Amino acid sequence: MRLLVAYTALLKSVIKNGVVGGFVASLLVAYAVLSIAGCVVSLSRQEALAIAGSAARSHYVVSAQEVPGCIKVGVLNASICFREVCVTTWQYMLDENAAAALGLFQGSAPPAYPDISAGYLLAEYTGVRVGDVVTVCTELVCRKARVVSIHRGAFGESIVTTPGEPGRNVCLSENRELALDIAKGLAGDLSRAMQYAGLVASLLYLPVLVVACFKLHKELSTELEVLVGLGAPRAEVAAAFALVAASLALFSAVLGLSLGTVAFHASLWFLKFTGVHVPYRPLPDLGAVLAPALVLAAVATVASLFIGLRGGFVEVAY
Amino acid sequence: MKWLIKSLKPWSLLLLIAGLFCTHTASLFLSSLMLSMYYLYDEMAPHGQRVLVVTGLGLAPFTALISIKDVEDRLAGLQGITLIPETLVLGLVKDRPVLVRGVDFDKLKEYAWLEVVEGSEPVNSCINCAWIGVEAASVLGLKPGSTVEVYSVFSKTTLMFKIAGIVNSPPPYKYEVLVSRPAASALRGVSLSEASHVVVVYEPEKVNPLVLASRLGASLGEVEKGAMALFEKALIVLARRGGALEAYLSTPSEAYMVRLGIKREVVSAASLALSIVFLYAYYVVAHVYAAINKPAIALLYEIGLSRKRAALYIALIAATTSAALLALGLAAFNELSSTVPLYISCYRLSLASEPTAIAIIAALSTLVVVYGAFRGASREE
Repeated sequence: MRLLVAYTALLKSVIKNGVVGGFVASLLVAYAVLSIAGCVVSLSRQEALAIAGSAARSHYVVSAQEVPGCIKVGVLNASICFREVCVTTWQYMLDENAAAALGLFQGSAPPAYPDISAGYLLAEYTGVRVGDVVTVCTELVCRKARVVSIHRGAFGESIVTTPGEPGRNVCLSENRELALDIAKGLAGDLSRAMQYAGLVASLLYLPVLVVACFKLHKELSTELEVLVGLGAPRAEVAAAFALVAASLALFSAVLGLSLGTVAFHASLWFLKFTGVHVPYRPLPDLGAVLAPALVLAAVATVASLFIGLRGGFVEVAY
Repeated sequence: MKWLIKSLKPWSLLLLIAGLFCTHTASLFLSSLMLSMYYLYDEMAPHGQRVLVVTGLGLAPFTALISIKDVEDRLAGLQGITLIPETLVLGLVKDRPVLVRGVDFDKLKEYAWLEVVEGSEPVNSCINCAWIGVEAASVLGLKPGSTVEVYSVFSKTTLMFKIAGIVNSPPPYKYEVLVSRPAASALRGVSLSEASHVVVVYEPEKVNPLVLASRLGASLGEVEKGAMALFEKALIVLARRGGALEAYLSTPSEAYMVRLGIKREVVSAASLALSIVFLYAYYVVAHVYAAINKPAIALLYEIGLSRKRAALYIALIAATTSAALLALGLAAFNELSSTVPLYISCYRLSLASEPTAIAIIAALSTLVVVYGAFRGASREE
């Protein structure tokens, strides 16, 4: 109860005398920087989700284990020689069902082993055409193979045939989250950079904050002495002082986060005049802002408690 | 003046020094980070004295696809030039977005050195091989001999690559996965006749770069003679303004992916907002310092000094302190920038101090500090 009375008295004095300028200002800037970093994180995430949503389509990804409904294909490292040119690529071996599932050969069967179909990029690169005979050497065997078709779409850089020799089996399964994964990865990288920037800015302002705590203690020294003179234990007075600092930190957080958000939105608005329109209006991302914001508030509170208990470290003549 | 310095409150000086030092360091650090992010795309452009990058369109220079034949036609008949098309695509490797670059290794060696750190020499004939840049290899933890799957949103199927080697090279190659052009085209879902950009390597003694510019549709008046870096940039800018070359983007996702998720507009907005906050910080620090010293200023009035002159003295002390602390802030920033490596994809954000940024910060901070201190000192109670 006495703590509450002391706290209220100190807070009233702070409000009445307006002695909080330095303390609030020191926290305000750090919180504003955090807020801007949080806005960038939030905006980047919003955009990533929107983009990934607009790009939603399925992809066939290689899965390590066999999953139900996946497309099984055999794969071998192969060297293809045509005239004087030799290149190394993959030889994919698949049956009619797998070819149909991947949209190859308009639903017909792939060229029967040892014949091959060359991917459109491989054909463009090596100059092979339908009807040409090429030499294909895998890890197991070398053979002459006729190019019976040029396929587009999947495996455009490789050759395709039916299973004719043992190879490594891989399983292709549908994935609709790929675009989201990439977008999330990029947004994550950007978020890390901005979180780091926010954290650095917060840490840099800690010395200013500690000096401001001393200053606040000095400003309130008369009130603190009066409270001690009225019989309040020094620990309680120190706790009341720390509570005041915590309240001011909270106030600064609200003010600083608002200032940062307003500054960021004002900048987005200003960019309109340079012909740049950003359709998103983000609020600071809580995950990016919360931890450093709490650290700042905690340091302000702990430093104030410490200073309050010691009665200030330095005697300064005003 | 000497008397004034002596009569200043120690608290106020402590606040001024701590406040200005922290604000200088923070503003240097954040401006450097923002610049690094803003110019990340320029890092992706091959650099060099005899190199010119021809691209199409977009805020990031490598977002578009251009027709190689279009570039060849425009430069037809010119002696002493080599055209090197490159195809860029953002892929997912080991759950991490990575830039995959399709190159002609033989031609690449003409203008950039490639040192094999581990594994085999890069060759064009291995379509299912990939060479990893040293920085990318350390981020991805890849070793030669293993097989890696690369996913791309532009290709319906996954491409597998054997890691054939790790290469050291100048930026941008050391941050990326290098593959043959057919493989990159497969990942990008385009034919070999298209590329993300064409690198033009020219011999200055055989071809005038201004003629190159003219052939590519750039206005000669806008290209500064002799300044190759500007020239290179000017070409990119001119190309970006449209009309210079045919270029297109097919989906919004392409635009997002190829600019690595960083929108230059967002970086600009964040930089602008941070500038507002830091200018405010400089103002508040100087203002609080001057306000604390009101009693010392009052004494100056009493001995007959004008209010403005006394305020100017206070402002002068603040400005001098600010200038001295900028050097200290710069030293602290240099220490800080080397502590934690930051990556976008596998590109390391280089937090180097930019002379222009330092000059702008120095000028603006001095102006605002002088104004803040002057206002704080001259304001009547």
